[in-house]
Amino acid sequence: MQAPLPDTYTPLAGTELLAARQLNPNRVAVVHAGTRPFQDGTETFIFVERLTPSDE
Amino acid sequence: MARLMNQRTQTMAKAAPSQSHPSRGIGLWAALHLVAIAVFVLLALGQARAEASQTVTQNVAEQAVQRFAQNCFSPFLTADLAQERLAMDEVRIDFYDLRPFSNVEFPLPLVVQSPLEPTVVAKLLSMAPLRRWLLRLRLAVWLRKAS
Repeated sequence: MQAPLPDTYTPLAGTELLAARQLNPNRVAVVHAGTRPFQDGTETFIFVERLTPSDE
Repeated sequence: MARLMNQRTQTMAKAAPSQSHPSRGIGLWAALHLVAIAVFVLLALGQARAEASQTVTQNVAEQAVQRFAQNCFSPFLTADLAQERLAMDEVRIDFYDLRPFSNVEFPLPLVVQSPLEPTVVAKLLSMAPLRRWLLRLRLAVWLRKAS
């Protein structure tokens, strides 16, 4: 189920995908994929982060 | 008329040396052919090398993404396992787990080859009370070349 993206995530210029999914009431997964400048070239990145409520 | 004859004579005199050495023209022609062939071969080799390099990059990208997809939601993933399963040439890994599911012996949190400075991780943790959501687990793959 799609979840609102936490405000600490902002898309980059090379972002292809940035989305949050509600895994369960206490888990949100954020996936971010795209390209970004790296040293003298460009690198591709993909990451997934699992978040829990800060009061848990 | 005599002037015209003189001009023709001079023209023939100028052309005479090249006619007197026909092998020089043939040699030049052959040399040009050889240079053209060498340039063509070099271009073909360069193209083949570029295509091979691109194929390798695509293979690395495909493998990295495939391995990432296979492991990104594994509750058993640890920093060592992430390094073992995902590490490749041209790939950097960032693994961070605040509360690992598996028993591990090293102190936590542990960051492996993280592109984030430790101060950044500490800042993220210090921001926890202000955030609705706290980062608990992070698995990132960074390919050094764009695919």
